[in-house]
Amino acid sequence: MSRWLLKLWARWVPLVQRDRWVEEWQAELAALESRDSKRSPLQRFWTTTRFSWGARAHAFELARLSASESLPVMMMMTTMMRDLRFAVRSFRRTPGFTVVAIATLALGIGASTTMFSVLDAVVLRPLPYSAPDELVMVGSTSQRFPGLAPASPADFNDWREQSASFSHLIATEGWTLDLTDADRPTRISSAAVSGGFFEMLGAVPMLGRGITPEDDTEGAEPVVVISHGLWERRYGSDPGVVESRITTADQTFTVVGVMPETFEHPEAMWSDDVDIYMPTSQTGSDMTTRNGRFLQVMGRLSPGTSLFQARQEMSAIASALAEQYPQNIGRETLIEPLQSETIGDVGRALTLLTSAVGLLLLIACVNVANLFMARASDRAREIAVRTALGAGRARIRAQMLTEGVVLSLVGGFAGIGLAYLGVSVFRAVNPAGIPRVEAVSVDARILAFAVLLSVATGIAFATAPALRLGRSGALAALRSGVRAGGAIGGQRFRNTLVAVELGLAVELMIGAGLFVNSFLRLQSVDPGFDAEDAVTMAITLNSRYESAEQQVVFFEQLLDGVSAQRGVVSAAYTSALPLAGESYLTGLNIEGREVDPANRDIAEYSTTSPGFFSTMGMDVVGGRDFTRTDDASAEGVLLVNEAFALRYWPGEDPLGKRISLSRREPVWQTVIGVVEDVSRRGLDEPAAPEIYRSPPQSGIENAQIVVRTDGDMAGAVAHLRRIVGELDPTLPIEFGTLEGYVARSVNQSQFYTQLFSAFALMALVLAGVGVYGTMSYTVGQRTRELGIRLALGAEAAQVTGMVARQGLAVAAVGLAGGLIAATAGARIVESFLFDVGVRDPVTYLAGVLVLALVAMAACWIPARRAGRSDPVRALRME
Amino acid sequence: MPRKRALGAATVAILKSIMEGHRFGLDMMEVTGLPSGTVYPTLARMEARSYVESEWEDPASAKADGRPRRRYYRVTPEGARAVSEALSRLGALASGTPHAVELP
Repeated sequence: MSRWLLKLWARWVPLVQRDRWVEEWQAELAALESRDSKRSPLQRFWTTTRFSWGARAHAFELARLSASESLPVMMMMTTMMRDLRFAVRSFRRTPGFTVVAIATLALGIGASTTMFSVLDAVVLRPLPYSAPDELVMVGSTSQRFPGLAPASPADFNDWREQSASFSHLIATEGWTLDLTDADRPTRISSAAVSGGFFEMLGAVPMLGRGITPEDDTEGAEPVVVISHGLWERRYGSDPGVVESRITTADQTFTVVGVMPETFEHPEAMWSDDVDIYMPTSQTGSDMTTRNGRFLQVMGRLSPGTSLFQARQEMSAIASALAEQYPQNIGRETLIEPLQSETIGDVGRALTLLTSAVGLLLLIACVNVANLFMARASDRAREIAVRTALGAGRARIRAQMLTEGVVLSLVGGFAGIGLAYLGVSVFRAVNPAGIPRVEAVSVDARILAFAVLLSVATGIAFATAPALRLGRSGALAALRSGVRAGGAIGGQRFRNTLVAVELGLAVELMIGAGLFVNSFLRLQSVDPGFDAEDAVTMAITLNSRYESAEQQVVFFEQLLDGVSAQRGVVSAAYTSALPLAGESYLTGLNIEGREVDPANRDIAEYSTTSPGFFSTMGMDVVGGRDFTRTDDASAEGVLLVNEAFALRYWPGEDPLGKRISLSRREPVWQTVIGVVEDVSRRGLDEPAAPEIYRSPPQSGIENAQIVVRTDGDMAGAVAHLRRIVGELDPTLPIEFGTLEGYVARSVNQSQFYTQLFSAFALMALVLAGVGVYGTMSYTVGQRTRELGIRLALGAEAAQVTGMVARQGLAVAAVGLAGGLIAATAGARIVESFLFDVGVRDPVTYLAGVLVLALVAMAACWIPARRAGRSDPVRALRME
Repeated sequence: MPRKRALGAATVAILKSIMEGHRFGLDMMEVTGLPSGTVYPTLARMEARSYVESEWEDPASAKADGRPRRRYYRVTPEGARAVSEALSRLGALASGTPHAVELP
């Protein structure tokens, strides 16, 4: 009996404790029985049964205790599960709504997550060096060379000796090495760096050692450190590469170290990868000169030194140097954090685009909120029934929030999928040459960002209808039927949302419009030369071509060979091709013009062969081009561009004027011609004064050969390759086209424009959908009222007009608001615009007009439906 | 969490019996004269409040005696403190001091 009772009570004991409970009671019972052994069986039965009866209270108590701990959690879980199931069911009942809402959210979240990944990797994440906040760039700056201009070696040495603000101060210079020890000569982009460069960045070589200050002294053994990439490509990841030799035409270096894969030269983040690091002492440059400024200086602030203190100290040193040396008059120093310098304009552009995408997300949210509002009103009756049956407001609100979060999570996951796609496309294309793009990825932090974003948007757009719904009176809704419930107040709220949405879309449209406008103007800029059908070939001579004469002989042979080929119209060469990122400045004196030592006149400078201008399609507007007789033995001659003539000899004839490029005793050269201006640094930069020199008189080591063809560019490339191979197979060459250079010079602007336009287009579509959805819904709600109007004799056109007018009034408010906001915020895009004002009226008008048209179309379709509705059917529906 | 109410007389009696060495349920019943339906639920409540702890008898010694192993209870320091508090209050009540009457 007692065993049976225990079994019965055990069913109440919480499962986890049950076995123990039974065991405990069996022990108790056994003890009781052994103590009672002397009594009669009936007595024994009675005591054990009474005893076991008490176990019931124990079992119930345990059940009560465990329930009081877990009951609230369990109840919440069940409620949540029920809400979830209910949400899924109700979404399945309204597939149209669900698909539109999820697609909208996926678009918004996907676009923002992609942009945020890029922003995060490129701008927000610290540079991959130890304590990157302490790293700075130090530049020499003057009125003429603003910004972080390179410093002269002598200045750099003085800075290093006199300053106390830096624990390290190093110089670096971009360099190229033409390696000749493989089958084909290859050009390797390199960097000359001061000893201690890697130490300053806190980078440890993977193999061997870095470059020490001892390596960077005059007469030291030539050593190099190579990148991980070069180690893999050229040495097949051979760990024994240290101590091996690398040869160029001029030098033999010993490899002393290999950097790890993660290491990158700070400047390589926005240009080519650097594959070889060598000491600055090995470049052959004069490392004591104060006249040439070619060193990019970087430093690490000493512990406890602020940027401000460093700036003050360096400013004092610069003033002292300016008093000491005439070359330094008017020169200041500039110190900027390495991070902001590395990212620079790109950072600003990405921040702008991320804000734009943020607006897009906001529009998406507003849209979904609107959908939710409409849906909530449709469900007024359902909600009313539930309220009448005893559901509290809190329960109904929780249900609505659950629906919002479920929907946004689904949208969010779809958005994450889109973001993966977007990021991989972004990385593969990287059209704007954005630095650090290889670091862009959708990582755990980004995923967390996307999920948080989804939940936040879900709560944001579900809250408004949830709050409104809780308020609606259950009885009123039940009594007045489906349609009237919650319509009036909800209508106002939905109208506000539509107006906000249109306003945001207007802002994006105007922003994108400004970009497009600016880009179109940039593209229509005449570069000053004819880019079609022209092949270019970059070629660098080595030390075998030491004299200007040897150099010119080589190039003339090359040109003669190429010009004789079929399909080649003409061929020429230059030391600096416009729009190819090649720009060299020279100081100069003009005969009869006073010399100001602090502000020497400067001009762009290049060497061009006879026929270069006609090959490029540039006109010689006065005088003549060079000829082969303008050689070293002839009189020194120059051509200048129109900008030069205008700056220095306005209203005078430049022909016959004389210029000296020499810093000391003047060596006069005569101007024999004036050439049309070209865009050299970019289509958006006005032409600067330029001078052109004759190759035999200046010498030329690096050249770009330009070959104008009759259209057969591939043929020209083949000819060039063959002829260079015949003349000197050790020379590295690289082909391009003039069109390619022009396109590349605008691709950053093009990329930003495309991206911005894409966002604006999405905003346009979303806003259109929003207006249409709200209008259709309103018409649906007013079926009865409109039916009565029609039945009482209103013309269809009148009804259509009335509905459309009401919709357009809302749209007008939104458009006006957006216009005001755009005007106020336009300044942030100013620095990205070329030749377009931030308040360009045409763009503003166009932006508003496009959205107005979309709003009109979106209003008109439902309005026409309203006018056509059948009064009889409308009335019967109730 | 169960609320911490003042201990009742039965509870105090059970805890006190444990503290005096009657660590087995049946023993407590015999010493206090309380029925099983009071002793065991009280033990469960006190364990939830961490006033008592329990441990299982060494299975070897139980096997030697040829019976199921027993569950032994022990009063925690916290429980002992609560008992002495309750005892002083009950004592005051018993001696009828005015102080005790003012208690809520």
